[in-house]
Amino acid sequence: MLTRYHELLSDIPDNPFAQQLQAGFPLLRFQPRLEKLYCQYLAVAAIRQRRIAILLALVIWGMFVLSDFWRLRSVLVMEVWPQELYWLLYGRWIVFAGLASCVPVLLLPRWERFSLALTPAVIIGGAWSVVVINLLYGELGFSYSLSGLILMVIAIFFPLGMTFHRSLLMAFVLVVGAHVLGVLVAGKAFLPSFQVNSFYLILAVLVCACGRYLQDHTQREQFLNRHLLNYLAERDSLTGLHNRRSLEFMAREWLQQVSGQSIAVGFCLFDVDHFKAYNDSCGHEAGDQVLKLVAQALNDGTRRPQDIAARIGGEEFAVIVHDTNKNELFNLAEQLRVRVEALSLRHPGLPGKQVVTLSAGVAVSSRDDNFTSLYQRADAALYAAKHAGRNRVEQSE
Amino acid sequence: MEIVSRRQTHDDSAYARQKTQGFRRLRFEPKLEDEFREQQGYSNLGLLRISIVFGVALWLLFCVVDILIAPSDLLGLFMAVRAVVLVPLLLFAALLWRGMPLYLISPLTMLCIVVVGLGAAAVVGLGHSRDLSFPYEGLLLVSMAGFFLVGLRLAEAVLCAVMILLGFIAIELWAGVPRLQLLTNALFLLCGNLIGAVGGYMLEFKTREQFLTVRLNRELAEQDGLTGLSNRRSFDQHLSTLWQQAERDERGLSVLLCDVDHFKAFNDHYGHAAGDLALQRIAEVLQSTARRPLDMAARVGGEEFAVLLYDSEPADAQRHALQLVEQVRHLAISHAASSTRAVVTLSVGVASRLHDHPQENEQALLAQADRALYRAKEGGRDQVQRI
Repeated sequence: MLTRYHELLSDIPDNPFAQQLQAGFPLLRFQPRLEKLYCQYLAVAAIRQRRIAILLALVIWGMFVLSDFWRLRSVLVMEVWPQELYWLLYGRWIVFAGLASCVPVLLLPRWERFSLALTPAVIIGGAWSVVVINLLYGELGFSYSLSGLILMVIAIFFPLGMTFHRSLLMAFVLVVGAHVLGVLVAGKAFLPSFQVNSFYLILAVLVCACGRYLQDHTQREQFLNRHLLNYLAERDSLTGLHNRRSLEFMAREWLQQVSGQSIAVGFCLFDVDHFKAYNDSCGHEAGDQVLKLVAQALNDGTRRPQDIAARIGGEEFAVIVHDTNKNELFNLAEQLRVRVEALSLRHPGLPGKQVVTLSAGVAVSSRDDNFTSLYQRADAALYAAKHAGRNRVEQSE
Repeated sequence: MEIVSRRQTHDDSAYARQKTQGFRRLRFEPKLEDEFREQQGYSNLGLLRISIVFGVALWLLFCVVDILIAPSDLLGLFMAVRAVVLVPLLLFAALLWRGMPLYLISPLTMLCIVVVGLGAAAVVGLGHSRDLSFPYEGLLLVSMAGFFLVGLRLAEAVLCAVMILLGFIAIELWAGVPRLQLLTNALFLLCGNLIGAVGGYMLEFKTREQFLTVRLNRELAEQDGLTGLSNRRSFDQHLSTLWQQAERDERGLSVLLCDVDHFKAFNDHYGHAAGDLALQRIAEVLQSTARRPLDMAARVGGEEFAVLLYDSEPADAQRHALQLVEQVRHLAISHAASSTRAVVTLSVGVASRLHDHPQENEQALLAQADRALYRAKEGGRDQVQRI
């Protein structure tokens, strides 16, 4: 199945998404333009995940806030609270308040854009406070563990909108920072006592990074495929031009836009002359090749970015032009016709020059035209061109 | 007349339907679900091979850690537990390389995860029976591996995580760990598993979305936009696949090459829009002929269609072709410009692969059908000819 999908990709000409899919991305980096697009997509796509994550964080941190009262019950009843107890509780509650204050950032659309930049700060701030709070537990004479850091490492590798590389960097900052902070708060004795914790922490980074790698890889693949899907849905598979569905959609859109204005939409309909005869004498393979070359010529000749060239049937093509007039459109169609004739593709069994030619019918939209009426007028003009001897452009009145 | 193609490729695809329906509960409709799991089975194999090497290496590393930090009188027990767990891991690894049925992969993966988890819990319990500060965080890593690294579905991974957590609590109770510490430790593991489960949900959701998109892309690339039948490229591919299969299994294979009579004249007389509609209706008839799984109906040219019938005797093919011609005539699409009949008609050329002295290759078969079609045209159209 995968090999067939790859065959399919190689048939799609000049599509950056297909190219990237074929080239692969083991290092989780696209070519620069796609990478930028992906990062933008990721930042927006993960907004829901960030919402879930912040709620999850609030719940988990809330459980620790409550467990403080239980674990510290012997100290809490003392007449005079030791200094460390104040620090501990302040630390716990400040982080809780910080998390709570992130909720509006995620819920208010106006502030949403800050949420991505805030994510690593929240996680790393949380992680370092875990170190300080637990060391304070130690100072108060309780047993404590720094395993909460592992949860923070898992959070860093959560699909929250950061790329894999950024997550890895953040994990590094988190782990190193935690060690430095530990030494600052608890003195030199911290490192030996933290040995086992460090070991598990690094293991956690390793396991989570592997998981995140797979996740990011799938997400990148999905990103490329989704773009490819859009492309495939609106392109003709043989020539890579727009297909009929896409042309019709655009033309209807434009006609709606210009209705009531003095701007006109132009519609050129092309038909390859005696294509059936060509196919019969030269075979389908050669016929396809001709269609591809004609399509290429039409596409190259339709330079303005808004204009769309499409293949709408076996040997039928269409070009739609935004904001044009009769003369301009006729000239464009004539240029395209000449361009194809100039390809000099041999068409044996034809009178005259024996090359592949096009007949064309053009129509410019009038005030009350809809897509179907415009198409039919162009079709009538094409019919006239065929009857007038082919290899020519006719315009509808 | 509107020329919106009635057949919107997108709505007809099972993949597209599933996409719009959504799959929040991480489940497709039964047929797609089977397809999805089969594909996951294949693609997980590579992942599992890496994971198992990684897992065995980590397990051995823990043996080293044991030697460094375990109470010396318990070291023997520790090593015994580690060794017992290693046995299923190595057996599973052997199966992964020697090959095994796809349906065994996830149950065995789950088994390994749970065995490793319970083994780790046993070591922690033994450790805690002496020293309450013995580290237990490794357990969380086992569940994380279940969620992210071994290709289990979320439901399976959650089941493993729950079993490990329950096993841990049972062993800790046996080891006589104080309730408070047990509560704190269990709380920590629960939080970790919660995060893991949410992440696992996201991962599986993405994987499923990816599956649907790829399949949909493939369908789009293989279909003809106007009629929704297969296009020429997929017809060529399918023909050569079927040819090889027919050769191997000694089955019949027939090609019906169809051409709409006087279609050019129809188009010129009624316009392209009407022509498109006529093609769509004829395509529906063809599709209904090629109903069995290996059969295919394709649009191979402007007004040219082809039907592939696998495992069919020449007589069957002839019968199908006659039916086709009749059904198209009965569509009763009026055709004033036709010199044959007053309605749109079809000419069909039939060629079948012969068991005794088969054609040279699939192209020869196709050429035969083409010649037969030519005869049908010459013979007055609206008929079937065979060679």
